Amino acid sequence: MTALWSRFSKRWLIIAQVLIILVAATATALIPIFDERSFNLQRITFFLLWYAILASSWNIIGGYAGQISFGHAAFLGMGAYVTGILWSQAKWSPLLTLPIAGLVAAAYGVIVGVPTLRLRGPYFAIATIGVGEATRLFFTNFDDIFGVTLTKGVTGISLGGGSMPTIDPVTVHYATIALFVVTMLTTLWIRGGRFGLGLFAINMDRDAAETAGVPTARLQVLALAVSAFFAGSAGALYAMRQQFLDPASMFGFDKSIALVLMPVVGGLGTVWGPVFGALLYFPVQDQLTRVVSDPYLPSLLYGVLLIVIVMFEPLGIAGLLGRSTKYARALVRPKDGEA
Amino acid sequence: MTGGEPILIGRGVTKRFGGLVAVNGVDLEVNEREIFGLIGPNGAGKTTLFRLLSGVYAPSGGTITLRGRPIGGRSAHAINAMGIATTHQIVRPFVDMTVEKNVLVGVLYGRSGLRGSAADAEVDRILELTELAPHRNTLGRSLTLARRKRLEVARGLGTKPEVLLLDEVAAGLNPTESARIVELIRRIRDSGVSIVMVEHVMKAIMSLSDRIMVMDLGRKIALGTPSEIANDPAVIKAYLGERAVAS
Amino acid sequence: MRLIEALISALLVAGLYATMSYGLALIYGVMKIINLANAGVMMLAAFTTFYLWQSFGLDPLLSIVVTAPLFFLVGALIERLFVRRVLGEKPVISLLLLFGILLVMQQGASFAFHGGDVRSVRPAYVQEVIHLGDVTIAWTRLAVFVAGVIILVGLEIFLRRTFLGRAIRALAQDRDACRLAGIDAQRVSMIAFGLGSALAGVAGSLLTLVFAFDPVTPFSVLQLKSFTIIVLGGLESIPGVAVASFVLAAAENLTVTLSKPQLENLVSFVLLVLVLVVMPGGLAALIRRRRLA
Repeated sequence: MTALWSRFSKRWLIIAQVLIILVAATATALIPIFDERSFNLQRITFFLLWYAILASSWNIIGGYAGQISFGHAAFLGMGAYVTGILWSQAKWSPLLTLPIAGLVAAAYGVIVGVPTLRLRGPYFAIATIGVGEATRLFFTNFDDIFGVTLTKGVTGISLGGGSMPTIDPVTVHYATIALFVVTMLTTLWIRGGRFGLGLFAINMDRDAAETAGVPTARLQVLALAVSAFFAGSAGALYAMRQQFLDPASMFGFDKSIALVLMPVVGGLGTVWGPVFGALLYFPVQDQLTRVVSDPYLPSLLYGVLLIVIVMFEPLGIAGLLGRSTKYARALVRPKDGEA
Repeated sequence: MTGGEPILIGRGVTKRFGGLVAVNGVDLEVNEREIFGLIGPNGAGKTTLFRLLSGVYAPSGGTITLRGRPIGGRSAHAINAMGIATTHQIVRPFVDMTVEKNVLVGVLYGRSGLRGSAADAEVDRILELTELAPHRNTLGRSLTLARRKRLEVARGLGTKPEVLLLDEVAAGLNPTESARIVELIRRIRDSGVSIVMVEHVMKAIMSLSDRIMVMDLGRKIALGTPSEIANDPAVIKAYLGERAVAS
Repeated sequence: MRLIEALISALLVAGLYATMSYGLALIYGVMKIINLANAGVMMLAAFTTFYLWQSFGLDPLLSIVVTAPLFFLVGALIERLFVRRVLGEKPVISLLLLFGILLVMQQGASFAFHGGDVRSVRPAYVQEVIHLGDVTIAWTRLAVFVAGVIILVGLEIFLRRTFLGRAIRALAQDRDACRLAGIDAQRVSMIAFGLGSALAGVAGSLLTLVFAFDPVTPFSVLQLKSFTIIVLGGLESIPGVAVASFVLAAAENLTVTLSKPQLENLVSFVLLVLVLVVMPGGLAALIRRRRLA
C-alpha cells in the first residue's frame, strides 16, 4: 500500500517539476513582448538561463556520476568556436550550427572520457585540468598551428558582421529558452530513470555497481557526452548573443570556478540545485564586479563559500531547503534517500 | 539430489601469482539447482578459485565455461550479464540508496530486461523472498549486518543469475541470523538458481550443500556429499585433522 | 653534444619536479586523495622565501629551514581541520574541498600581494655557471637539484628506517590491516599530509631560484606537470615519481631542443594523455606486471 502510494506521488512530483519548467519558459518567453526597448531584462534572462544550462550540464557528470570536471570550459569553448568558425567562414546560419556545436563538444567529451573514465581513481579530474588548459592553448594558437586566419588568437573573432548571416537578439532569446527546457527535461529524465540510478550507483561504489551488472565505464562516458553536448550548445548560444569570441572569455579561470561553484552551491546531484546556483551566482557576480574593484576578491569569497558548503551542507541550497519543509524536500530530492 | 545438468564447468583451472600456484589444475562441475560448497583450510586456494569463477581474476591456465561459453577475461558487469552474480565477503550496499533502489539497480542492469512497473514488481518479489520488504525504504547505511548481507544477496538475485556465488555470507552472524540466511539460500536454490558458496561456518555449509568440494594447497582433494566428505580420510587428514571438532 | 647537454639539464630540472611531486604521491598513497592544494602551498612557500630574502637577506636555499617546518604545520592543520572531516564521504567531496582551499590560497595571495606583480629572488650567485668540458651548467640549477636530492634521500631513509615512516608506508598499503595492528591511522594521516605539504614548501623555496613568479604563474603549469608525473609514476609509487620526473623533464628538454620552445608546456599534457591511453596505472603497474608475468 505504501509502495503504491509512493509510486503515485512520484508521478505527480515529476509532472509538477515539468510544469515548473514550462511556466519558467513561458514567463521568460513573454519578456521580449513587454520589453521591446529595454534590453537589460533580456540580458539578465539570457545569462540566468545560460548559467543554469551550464550548471545543469556540469551536474550530470559531476553530481550524478560523481566525476569532477575542472575543465568543463573546454566543452563550452569548443561549442562556441565551432559556431564561430562555421558562422564566420562557411556563412552558415548560426542557429543551424547549434546542434553541430553540441555534437562536436560531445565527441570531444568521448575522446577525453574513454581513456580516463575506464580507470578507477581520480584520473578524470586530473585529466580535465590538463584538457581545459590544452583546449585554451589550442584555440589561442589555432591559426599558427593550421596556418590560417580563423580564430585570430588572443584578439578573438567578431561575428555577425560583413557578409555573415545575421541573427536578432529575440531569436537568440527564444533559442536559449528552448535549450534551457531541453536541458532541464533531460536532467529530470536522467535523475528519475534507469540511467540516473546507474550513475548514482557508480557514484557510491563503483565496484559494487559493476558486480550488480552496471557497465560503469560506458555509463560514465555517456554521461560526459550528454554533459558536454549541453555545455557545447551553450557555447554556441554565447557566440550568437555576444557576437564576439576570444580565449579569455571562454576559457578564463573565472569560468572554471563558476562551473564548479554553481552546482555545488545549489546542490550537487539534485535536479534543481544547479538552477539555484545559477540564480545566485549571476546576480552576485554581476554586482560584485561592479562594486568591488579588486579582481581577486570575488574568487577568494567563492573559495571560502566552497569550503563552507562542502564541510557543512554538501547538498547546498537544495539541502537547506530540503531540511526546511516537506514539499521543498520532495522537489529537491524526488527520490527519497538518494543524492 | 536436486542437481540437473552441469552448467558451470571448470577444466584444469590454474592460477599463478608470480612463482606461487594458488589454484592448480582444478576440475569442477556445478549442476543446475545445486548448492555447491567450497571448503578448505586457510591458503587452500578457495578464495582464489571463487574469484576466478566471479571473473575478478582471469585464469592462467584451463577454462571456465557457463553453459559452454568461456567466462575468462571478461569484466565484472559482462560476467554478470552472462548469468553469474556475486556477493562480496565484505558487504557493500549502496549506502545512500534505499533497500528498494539497491535491488532495483540489480533488476534494471541485470539480465531480466524488465523496465518500469514490471521491474518494480520484480523488486517486490525479491524483497519478499529475502524478507527485506519491511525495510524497503531504509537507507543502505542504516541496515544491520545481517540485513546488509541479505541485501547483498537480494541485489545479486535482482540481476536474474543462473549461478549465484556467495562469499562467506554467514560469517559474522549469530546463530539465529545464520539460520535465517540458510533458509533463504535454500529458497533461492528451489527457485531454480545454482549456488556456489565459500563458507567458514561449517554448520551452514554442511547442512546446506548438495555437494562439497574440498581444496588443499591449490588442489582438489575431495568431492562428494556432506556425509561422504565428513568421512573422507584425505579430508580428515588435511582439514578436519587440524581442527578435530569442525562445527 | 646537444643531446648530452639536454639530458643533464633534464636531470637538474627533474630534481625540482620530483620534490614538488613526492608530496602528492605520499598523500595519495596514505589517504587516496589528490592534494589539489599542493600548488597553493608551493606558491605560499615561494612568497615566504621571497620576503625572507628581501627583509633579512636569507638565502633561498637556507630558507628551507623555515619553509619546511612552517608548511608541515600548515599541511597538518589542513588535514586536521578540513580533510579529516570529509574522509568518509565520496571522493568528490574531498576534491571539491581541496579545490576550495587552493582557490582561497591563490586568490588570497593575489589579493594580498597585488596579483600581477612578478617577483624574483636574485642572490649574488644567480649568474654563475660551472663548466664541465663543453657543458655549461647554471649554478642555481645545480644547487636546486642537489638540495632536492638530499631532501628526497632523507625522506626515503625516514620512510624506511623509522617507526613513523614504516607506519606511513604500511598505511599506504592496507588501511584496514593497520587499524587492526594498532596504528593510529588518523595521526599518521595528519603527519603524512604535513610531510607532503612540507615537500611542496621546499619545492616552493627552491623554485624561486629558477623561476620568476606571481600567485598564479608558474604554479598552475607546475601543478599540471606534477599531476602528469604522479600519473606516469603510478599515483602512489615513490620511485615511480623519481623516474617519471626525469622522463617528463627529458621529454620537455628534447622538445625544446629539437623543435619549438613554446611547445614545452604542451609536452606534459601530451604525456599525460599518452600515459592514460597506453599504460594506465603508470610505470608502477608496468613494473608490477613484468614481475608477475
